[in-house]
Amino acid sequence: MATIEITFTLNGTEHYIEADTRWTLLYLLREEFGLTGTKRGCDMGECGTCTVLLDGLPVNACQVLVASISACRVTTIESLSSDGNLHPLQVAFLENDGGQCGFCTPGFIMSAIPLMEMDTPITRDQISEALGGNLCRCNAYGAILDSVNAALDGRFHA
Amino acid sequence: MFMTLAASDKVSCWEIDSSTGELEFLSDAEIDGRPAPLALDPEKSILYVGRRDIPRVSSYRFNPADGSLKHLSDGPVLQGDPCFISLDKTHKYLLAAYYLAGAVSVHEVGEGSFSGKSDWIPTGTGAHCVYTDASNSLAMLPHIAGENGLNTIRLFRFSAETGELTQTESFECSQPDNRGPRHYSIHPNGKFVFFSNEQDCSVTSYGIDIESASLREIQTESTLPMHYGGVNTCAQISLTPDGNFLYAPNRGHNSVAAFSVNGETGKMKQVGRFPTEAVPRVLDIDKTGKFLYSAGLESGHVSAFQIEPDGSLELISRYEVGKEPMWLLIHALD
Repeated sequence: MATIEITFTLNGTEHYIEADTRWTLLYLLREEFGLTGTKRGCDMGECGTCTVLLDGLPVNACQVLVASISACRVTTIESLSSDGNLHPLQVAFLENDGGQCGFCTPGFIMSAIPLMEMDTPITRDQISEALGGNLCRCNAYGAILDSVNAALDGRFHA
Repeated sequence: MFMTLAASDKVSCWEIDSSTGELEFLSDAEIDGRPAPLALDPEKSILYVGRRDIPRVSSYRFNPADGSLKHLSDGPVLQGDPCFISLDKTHKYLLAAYYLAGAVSVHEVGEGSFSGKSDWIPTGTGAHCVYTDASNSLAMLPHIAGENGLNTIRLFRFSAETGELTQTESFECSQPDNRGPRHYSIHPNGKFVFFSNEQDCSVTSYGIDIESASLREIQTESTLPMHYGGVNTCAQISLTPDGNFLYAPNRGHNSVAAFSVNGETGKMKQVGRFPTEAVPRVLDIDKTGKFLYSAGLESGHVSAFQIEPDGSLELISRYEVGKEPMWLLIHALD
């Protein structure tokens, strides 16, 4: 088994780890750190339910090798709430029934985070495009779009 | 660079590599009572430390070679804990702001002693920052809006001869609801001042009229993205030494907002927001304007950034410094 030593930042905390070179970021998060908010779906980069932020940009954690995240910032769904305050996107999903079974919800929320960083008005088409890599088998797309739209309108201040 | 670590009851000193911006730990000193704000007399090598749990200000002689501290004197026990301290331009008087006690104070310090004049001036809840301008005749006192703060800026004439603060004719610079001015940074040309607004999460530029000691609002810009709805408050604010760029940290969004500044008009233009430490309460910029250091109250780390020619920030490295960094103060060695 080949291993690699890397240092990276996970949800604001720096970690030094010795990792198997075959590990994916998804495996690392769920099995080594116990952060199971990031879901394992297709494991092929098609469903988006394992979406996390890598240096602020959404990626499918199942398609990222741990060996490639040295010095990177990884952000998972667990970091969004603080001191019992939910992130505005989480509040909006609750208020708009944005999740049915809820399995895909973390991935959709993480894909929507970069939209919250934009400084221009955002259309519903742009939201659809940003969430294009995420699948919902419950087919709750309408409510998901409503949720993100509501959060972007600033109606849900955490 | 000196930094206070409130939860560790320490003041530590780090050396900045002037070519790379990297930090190297030099020394630390145990100072009880939650040390927080700092002020420095570079000519006499004296560091003043505000201690928030005691509450008083103490002075220390520092060794420029390694930053080690030797206790000189303790100021009087105060009626409130100091959240900001500064020296006037003669280094003869120490000014302090008290947001919970709602006051500003002036202490004659000279060689680090507190034996002379000591004035306590109640101004109202939320007083958060005070220092004099380059002429050493004008001092501003922003009051935040949170915790029943007055939400205003009050202006004082300062006398370097007597150490007295007196209200100016246009004493009050009133603010829109819940804006919460907290800290300020005066442009090196002396024409403009920039305030961070704690509750509004914005920065405001003002023109300074020295003769009438009044402020004229020019522009307010948000420090947050348009769509951000999470909890956030602003803290410190700092201009680069040439006045070309302005930086204000976001506590909650955990970023540093950067703006370019027009030195002719006082107008600002957003450069961007750059991820930094969790709850970035304090920052400081080195005297060459090449590097910016941002400390996270929650993370216990300092992020070192290189300031690029366009004002954007490029992370150099992160350093674990200790619990609750409350202040950064860079001292340039000749």
